[in-house]
Amino acid sequence: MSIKERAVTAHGRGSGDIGRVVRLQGAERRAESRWREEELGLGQVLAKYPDISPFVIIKADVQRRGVIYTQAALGEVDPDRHMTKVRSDYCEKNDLAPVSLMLRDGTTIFTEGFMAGRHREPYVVDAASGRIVLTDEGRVIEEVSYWEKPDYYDKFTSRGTPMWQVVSARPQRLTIHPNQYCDFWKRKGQGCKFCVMAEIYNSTDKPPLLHVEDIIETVAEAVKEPGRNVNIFLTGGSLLGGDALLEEELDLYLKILTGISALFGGRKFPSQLISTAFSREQLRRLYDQTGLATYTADIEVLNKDLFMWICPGKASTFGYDGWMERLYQAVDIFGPGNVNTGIVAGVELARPKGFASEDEAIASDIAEAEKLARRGIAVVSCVWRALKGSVFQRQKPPSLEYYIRLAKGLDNIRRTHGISVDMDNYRRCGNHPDTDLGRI
Amino acid sequence: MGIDLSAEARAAFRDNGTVKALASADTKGVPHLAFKESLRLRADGLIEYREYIESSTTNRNMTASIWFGIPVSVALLTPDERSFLIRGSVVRALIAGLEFRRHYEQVRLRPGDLDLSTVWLIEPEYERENTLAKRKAEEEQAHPLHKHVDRLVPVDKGQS
Repeated sequence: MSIKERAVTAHGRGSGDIGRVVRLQGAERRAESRWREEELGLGQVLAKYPDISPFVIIKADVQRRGVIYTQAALGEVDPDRHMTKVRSDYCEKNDLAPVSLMLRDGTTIFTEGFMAGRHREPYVVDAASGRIVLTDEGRVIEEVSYWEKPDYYDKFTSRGTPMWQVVSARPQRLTIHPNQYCDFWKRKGQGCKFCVMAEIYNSTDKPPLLHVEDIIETVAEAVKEPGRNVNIFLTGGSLLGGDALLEEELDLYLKILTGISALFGGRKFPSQLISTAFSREQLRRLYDQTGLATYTADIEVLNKDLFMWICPGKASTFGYDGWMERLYQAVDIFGPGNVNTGIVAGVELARPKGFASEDEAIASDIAEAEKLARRGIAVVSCVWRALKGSVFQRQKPPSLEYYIRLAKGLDNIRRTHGISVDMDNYRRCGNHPDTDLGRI
Repeated sequence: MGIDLSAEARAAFRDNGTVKALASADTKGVPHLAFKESLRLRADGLIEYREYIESSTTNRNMTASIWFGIPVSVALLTPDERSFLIRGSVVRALIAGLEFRRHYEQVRLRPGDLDLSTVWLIEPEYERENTLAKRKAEEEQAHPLHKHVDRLVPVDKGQS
């Protein structure tokens, strides 16, 4: 039976009793009781969008609602084999639960621990007969597996730093967050309203900046693993200072990327940087002096007024049009298909200033994405979770159908304009339902 | 529903001289056929094959198959010209992890600086031997009317 059939027809004849759920952070909140009646559920969305990958639909819903684990599911975790620890700008986790999940088709699901939304019940990961499954209301939705741990993860740098704290891993990507804080959060009211970087930083004792030597050493170790990595990715909080705006941030990335480039003989290598929007001259240095292949500066929300409200620091420093202009300049340097911009999909519906309806939001998003695509820039979307510690933590993210309509729309735009999905595809990143659709 | 392959089909998979091909289709039904030397029968009864090219038509079609339940077919032709058709469902894509790594390391030992995109797993659901002599006998048994009548005219051996 296909997963679609299972999800659509299996009501009331699921896998039997779900094992005892382990309640950790976030799971104790009671979800709104009527949300299932107010929006299309997974089965209905699967049935309504038969041309969209059911795996991508499941992924979007799991990322939207979060997951919790039963004791049986946690019993399937092998800390020697599976990733359980992660340190990034958006997550600090050192318990024995799996970091995230993978579906049978290779689609990644980002759960980053036990995240559960406030407004809707999370999915439950359970296990039986050695099979790990995603369940909802007692019904088995689909088989999942846990992300496997890379070889370098339990090693230490020569400075004695655990490598997992320096470079985090996705199934096929090395992720580097050199700056774990953000200058916008140092200015009152200037941080992005969906962002938890400051909350995560303040709740840990981690240093704000990683040592460049630690990073280079960890990457050098990590890239030895056969068949593991297809991308080296850098991002972090903004560093606005220096002789000119963002020079401090640029210098940091130049040092790191120069060191990593040397590992590959100075050649361009599969890589992506998401930074604050650099100037043309800064982008030129980045491209000419390092092996960096692709570039991203996240606009976060595709509407000028909402950008000013939701990303006040970015807006007051660069402006919406100024940010866009820097993206256009990046295409001149890195080339079409090698530059994109990310949005936190759904924040444009945040109350009280957001769009009144999902229809309006999607129409506006698609129109702006079209404009960017005409200049060779793709828009990629992340599923917004109103995370604890963010200004928007009490907001209600949109419906599953919104995410599927948006993903389909962004995928169509990329196809129409012939923009390659390679730089941010399902293996290289895996956090974008719209780029997952580019597999076929 | 998965099936166990016949002893003959299993032997065909084991024979290094067997030619193996994989037929897939895209979401519009456009067929694609490619020879895939890496097709192999696993101990668990699934068929696996290694896709080396990420953006190949087969790789895209296999993705469409696992997403939308589009069946795929494997054709085997042995050195003694027996042929088998196996139809099945794509059930898993290995793109990372320990099992993928084992495949990757084997691929890297081969000449040609090959990369490995995906190891696809196919669950067999239907098998038929397509060897001509066998199919001809089956046809004559099941459809005795499917023939040209001139074949029924006794041949005058004196004229031949």
